[in-house]
Amino acid sequence: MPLLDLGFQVAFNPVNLVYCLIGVTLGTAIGVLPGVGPVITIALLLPLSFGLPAEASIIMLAGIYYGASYGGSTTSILINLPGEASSAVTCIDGHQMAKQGRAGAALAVAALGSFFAGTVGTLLIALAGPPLASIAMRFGAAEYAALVFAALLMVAAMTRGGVIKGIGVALLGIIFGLAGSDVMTGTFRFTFGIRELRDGIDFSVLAVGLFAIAEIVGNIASSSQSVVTTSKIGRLWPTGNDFRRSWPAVLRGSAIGSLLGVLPGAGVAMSSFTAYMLEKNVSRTPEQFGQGAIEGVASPEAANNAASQTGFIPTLLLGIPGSPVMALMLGAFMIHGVQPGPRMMTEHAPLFWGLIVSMWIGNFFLVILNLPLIGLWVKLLKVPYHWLFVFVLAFACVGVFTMGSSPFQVYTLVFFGILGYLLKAAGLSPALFILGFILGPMFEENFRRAMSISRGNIWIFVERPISLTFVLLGVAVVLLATTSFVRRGRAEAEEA
Amino acid sequence: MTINSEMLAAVLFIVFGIVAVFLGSAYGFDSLSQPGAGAVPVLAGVALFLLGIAQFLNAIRAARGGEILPAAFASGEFRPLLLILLAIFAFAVMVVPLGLVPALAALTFIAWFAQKGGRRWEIAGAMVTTIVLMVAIFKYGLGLPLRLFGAGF
Repeated sequence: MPLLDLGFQVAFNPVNLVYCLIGVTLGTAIGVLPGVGPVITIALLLPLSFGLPAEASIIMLAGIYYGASYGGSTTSILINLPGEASSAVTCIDGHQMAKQGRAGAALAVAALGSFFAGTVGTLLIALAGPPLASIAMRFGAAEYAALVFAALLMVAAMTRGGVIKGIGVALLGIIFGLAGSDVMTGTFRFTFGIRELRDGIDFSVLAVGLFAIAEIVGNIASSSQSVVTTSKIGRLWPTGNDFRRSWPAVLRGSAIGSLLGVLPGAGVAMSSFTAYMLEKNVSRTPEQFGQGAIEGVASPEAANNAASQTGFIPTLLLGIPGSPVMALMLGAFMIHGVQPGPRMMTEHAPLFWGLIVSMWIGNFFLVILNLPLIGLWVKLLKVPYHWLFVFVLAFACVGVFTMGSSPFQVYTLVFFGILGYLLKAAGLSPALFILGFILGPMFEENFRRAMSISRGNIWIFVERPISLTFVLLGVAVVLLATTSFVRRGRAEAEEA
Repeated sequence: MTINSEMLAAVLFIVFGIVAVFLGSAYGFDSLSQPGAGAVPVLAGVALFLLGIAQFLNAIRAARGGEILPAAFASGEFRPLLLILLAIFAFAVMVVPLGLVPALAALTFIAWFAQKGGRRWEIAGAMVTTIVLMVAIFKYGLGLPLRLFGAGF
């Protein structure tokens, strides 16, 4: 495995190790803080990543992502308040265990299960990478256009609010993504004579405006939550019986998470919910679920961490992000001039393999960080939101301003703040808007190229087997989404 | 009449769909064998417009069926929204002529009133903490060439 060796060299570089540690620590902290999720944090840090080397900034941002899912589990268990949607399921049995004075065991099982699942996910990326990339190398313009089409439809179908709203908001994102100069003809589109828009709308400004501003407004309007109690943590090391009950659950959770993480739209939250349901179904004592069953913590925690890792597979190897965080990660790659896709593994081998190995190291950091520092994380919960939001807002403004040293980007932030608020008010997913924004130009370029190659024959998308598969997959998911099965799953995942 | 979220989604789709078709058609659709710069914006705009119509009909049908649809805007959100946007706007206006410190002070001051929980006397503390942290991170931590105060200071 000479390429994994290369990854170890990059990841063990002291600078990268420090950024990995910063990433996972920051990730855990924000996973703990209610109201500040990984999407906002990564969006806020995007402007900063300009100044860092590509490897260091990507490693740090990835650390924030999977660190946040660890942090979310801590608050779920201790105070029944999930910092992250993906850890909502952990509340059910995790908090019951905490009430019984077994918070320490729940946290330890969550951390160890997550570490195991993270390792499985990382290994899967390393193993699946080369064969998947060689298949993707055969993709032409028609296949890529069809793949983007299918990915957008799949995510739209899985988003709350219904298929029409899902597809509509993705289309809206696509239209905004087309602003700037057309790559084929050089025509300026949707620039309204503004020079700063000729290179297109800045991704970081868009992300900060859509996520951070709307989120802050929503949180202030409903900010009544304050942390009242924290549970006693109890002894940290699980008992032999805990281990015996947990390990099969961790294995099943890792398998489910690894599988669902790859699918666009299914995502981390759905994987933890599915893992919990499966665990309850296979259990000989399903009545213990909801009363503090350790399997109910081990399996969803393993699943959400495995899904966090394997979510990188479509992003890195196909350039198709399956979730909003992955869309932001894709944006971060692009800021550094790296186009994720099948060629990334050969053209940017140190970055690709360095990132893979750093994820494994990051997961290890999390185990040794999370458990001894639980007391500190609990204290973080006491930071009042009315201080936190001022800091987040100031960080957003200064970060965006420093990107161009001109106030134009900050004015754009006001515009996207309003748009983000309108999307939220209309029940439209800003995450899907971001996906459309990122994938729109890719779809357009490949669509136009495919049409040129086929001399205007639209059937090119169904004449080629791979492209046909993607088109059928996208259509099938939309049709399925209208059936009760998916609607029920989606509703349950949201409730959880 | 209060606008509900389903109707607002329909309005957004229809408005942006029409704008995309109107502006996109000026960039040139050309032909299917050589799609021009306006082709995808027009196609996306038409699709968005049609989805907007479908969404509109759905919203009407739901309302007629007696379904209670959630209101799009909550009255408690206007104050934070306006003050947060005003705070960002003030920062944008002040940061170049007056420098980073006054711009951050204005941002913190305006944003503070977006919420009801914070006590007035805390403003100074929040202002100083925010300014110190931002200057430490961006100017000294990242070494970015930011002017703390405008010319003359």
